Amino acid sequence: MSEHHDAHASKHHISPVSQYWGIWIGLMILTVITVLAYYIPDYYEIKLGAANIIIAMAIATTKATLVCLYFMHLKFDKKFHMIAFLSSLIFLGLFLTFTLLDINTRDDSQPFAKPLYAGKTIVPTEHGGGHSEEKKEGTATGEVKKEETKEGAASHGAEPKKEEVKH
Amino acid sequence: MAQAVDELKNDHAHEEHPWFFHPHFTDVEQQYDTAKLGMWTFLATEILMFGGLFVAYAILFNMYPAAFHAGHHHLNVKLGVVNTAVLIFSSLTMALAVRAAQTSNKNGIIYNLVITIACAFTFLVVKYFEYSHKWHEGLLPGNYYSYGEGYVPHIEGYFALYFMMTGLHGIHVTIGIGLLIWILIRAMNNKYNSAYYTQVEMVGLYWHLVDLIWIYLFPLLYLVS
Repeated sequence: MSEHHDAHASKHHISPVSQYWGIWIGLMILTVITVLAYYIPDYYEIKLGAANIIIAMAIATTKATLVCLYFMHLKFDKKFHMIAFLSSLIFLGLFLTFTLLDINTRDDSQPFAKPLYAGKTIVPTEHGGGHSEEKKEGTATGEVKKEETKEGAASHGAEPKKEEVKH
Repeated sequence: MAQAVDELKNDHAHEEHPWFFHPHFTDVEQQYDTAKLGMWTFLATEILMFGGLFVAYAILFNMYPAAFHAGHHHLNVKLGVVNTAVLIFSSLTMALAVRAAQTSNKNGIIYNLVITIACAFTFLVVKYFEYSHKWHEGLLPGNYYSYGEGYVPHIEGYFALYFMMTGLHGIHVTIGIGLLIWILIRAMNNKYNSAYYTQVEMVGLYWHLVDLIWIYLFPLLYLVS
């Protein structure tokens, strides 16, 4: 009977309390690092660009891994549960990768398709490219779009002029 | 000796099963494994459900980074940090509650669950203050966006994502509170010990997932640069 009991106990892993507190301290330190990684480059006016979100996601993934392995016991659990969980992340990864490949490569074929909100439409030319043209809105879509056009033009107004010079 | 064990097993087969055992399972262990596999499968579908919103975030962030940068300045990073700390601590107490159940420590289960529930309510109260602040300022999705100054095109899209992602997460926290109260009451009625704590562990797994989602939401929504 006692043998059976031991076998039962070893099947369900029981982590020491100190381990849970240790993981918690690790998670809190990583949270502080996430916030510092946001404020320090801002304070010293260092522009990290895309690296910023990559750093933030790397820290978040480290935290998520700690939670999964120790709080959710995946480290001591049947490997099949890990596979079931990771399969969802693999499919999410596929979803994300192919969507971003699409989004990030669209502008190569239609380089002027991006600032739609500046009130322009794309007019394809015979040479395969396109040139932007100021479109006067207000006949069909009403005043709301007109306002947006004005404000959009404040920040993006410089771009179409440059493009027109090129052609 | 072996014969004696066999007899003991046979005796057990004729004996009444423990109260939590469902007869369509082979034994208690198989029942536990089935529940756990089912729970992990459910968590996988949860990841996929939130995944749709994360992909939407990726698309909009790639198309309109300026709107995200402008939008995140309206969020209070301090409140975000507080909520992150609260959720991570509740995850710790949840894990400790499961451990208390594994070691048949009834008071341990109750204390830890009460702290977990208190943290969950704290999270929702902070979230309520954040939401009501945005509501009054007009920092709302789509056509409802009516904040006066510093309009950046598509900033209303950022707030649509903000409310969808934190809203779906908030619904999960609310459901979690219900589940935690349910297992708290059952723990008070001596339902859990080292032989049977499946429900405590499954609710624990769900609660850790809610924490996991927030670990990603916090930097994505509050710390965009």
